[in-house]
Amino acid sequence: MHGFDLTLLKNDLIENPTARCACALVLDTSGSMGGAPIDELNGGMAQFIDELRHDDFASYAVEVGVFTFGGSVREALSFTPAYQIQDLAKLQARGGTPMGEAVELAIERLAGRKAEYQKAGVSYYQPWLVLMSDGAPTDSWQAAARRLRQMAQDRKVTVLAIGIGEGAALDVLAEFSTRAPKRLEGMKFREFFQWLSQSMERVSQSTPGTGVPLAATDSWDAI
Amino acid sequence: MHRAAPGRTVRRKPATTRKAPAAPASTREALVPAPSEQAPEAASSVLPELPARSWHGADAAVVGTSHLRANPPRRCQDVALADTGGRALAIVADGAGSAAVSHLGAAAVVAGVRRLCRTLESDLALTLDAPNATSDQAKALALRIVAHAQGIVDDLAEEHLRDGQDFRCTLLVWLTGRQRAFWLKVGDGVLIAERDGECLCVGPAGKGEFANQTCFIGPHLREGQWAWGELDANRLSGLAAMSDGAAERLVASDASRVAPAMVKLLRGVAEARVGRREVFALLAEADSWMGTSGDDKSLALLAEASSPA
Repeated sequence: MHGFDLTLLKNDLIENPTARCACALVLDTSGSMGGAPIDELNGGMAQFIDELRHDDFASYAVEVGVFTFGGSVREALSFTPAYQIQDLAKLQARGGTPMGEAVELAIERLAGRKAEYQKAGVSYYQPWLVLMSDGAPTDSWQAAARRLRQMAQDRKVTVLAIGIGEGAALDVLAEFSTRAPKRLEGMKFREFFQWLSQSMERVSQSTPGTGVPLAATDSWDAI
Repeated sequence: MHRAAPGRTVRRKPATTRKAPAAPASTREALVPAPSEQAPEAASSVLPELPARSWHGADAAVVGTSHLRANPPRRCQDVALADTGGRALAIVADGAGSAAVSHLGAAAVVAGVRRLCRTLESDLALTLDAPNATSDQAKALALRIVAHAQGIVDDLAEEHLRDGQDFRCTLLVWLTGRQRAFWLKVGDGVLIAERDGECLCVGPAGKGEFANQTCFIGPHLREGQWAWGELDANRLSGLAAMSDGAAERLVASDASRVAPAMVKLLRGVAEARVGRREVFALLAEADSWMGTSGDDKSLALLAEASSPA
């Protein structure tokens, strides 16, 4: 075998778009999150983005969307690849807890993003939706819970419901997911987001299979 | 007496008696005049006897960079074989990333399917070389190969006292013949045929909605999850089978395009300028695979010899 110059092939390969994994963070920013909790949440979020950006593949594959519910519902960050996220504005705590409306918005945006993937011919992983709250919803949340739970049952989305502190209504959070909700121990937002970034990296680098084994949650889970 | 590891199920069904999940309907392509179910002999009147053809082959499998991040690093779970020491065949198996010992499954399935094909040579001659072969013969061949591969996974599970799921792998097969080339596809990865100088993807895409969904040779393989077919051998000059990791740079993700590099590779194989070392070098060359998932990569190539074999 001789005389075959492999470097000539480099320009004859195909640049396929990276398969995407959308991650929707649906976060409680109601008044009860004021003070240390919102500060820790902001710190954990910044760390989450930073860790994703430092992973060669996840930085392109993982797209983060942030939806907050505190007084009103806000799309703080539309789905954006981690490497493109610059400065994420600090979240502020205020008002009531319209969780149902926030979940509906996240579902709608996830569906829209999926349609964009399909239109562009970009393959994608099962998206994640992370719902975090320190209390109970103050709006009509049941329809959103049923819809999200059904999506999880149909394996259209992976839902993680996280209660923050002792006041979190885990029984309500349980209605949004087929997985049992977990309770964040103390102010371990950073530990949680570190776990989440590692999980997203695993998903984005997963080889074809029936599931991705995730790391243990005991670094932040109080249950 | 064997004991199963805690929490695991050990399958004990003998390999040779396993029944393959039913295959989908024949996908014999229009290039080969497809005999109807009622009159399978119809093709015999139009296909002449053809001489045997000479093929060159090249293959390689390379561990993915994502496997190197683990500590200790995970083994390469891909296996590729291009064998021209008899009827030319190409086989690729990609062990499931989340399965603990799927590299063992992939290696055993590739070796076992190769052995089966050598053993069945007289049947293969009737199916792929004879002008009057029917699609039923090819379907029977597909069922045999899948049943055998499933049995190999069963045997591994019994030998190692593990669940068959731990050994699951995809399977891609090309078998050449004088009249037609046979392909089989279980799970993802890509089969390519070079026809009239153009490379085309063959068979279904093999993925579900999500990027990491596929099916495997293993206990959970179900009816309709795999496919087989035949192509008119007369117009083929090259064949390739590759895992999804290799396909990331060699085939468009919607299977609409094959990288121009493939034609050059096949030409190199045909002229005996590309062998295992060159294929390995391509798959292992870091710059070319920058930005891909870091999955294992494997590629098996067969090209009609344009110089003496």
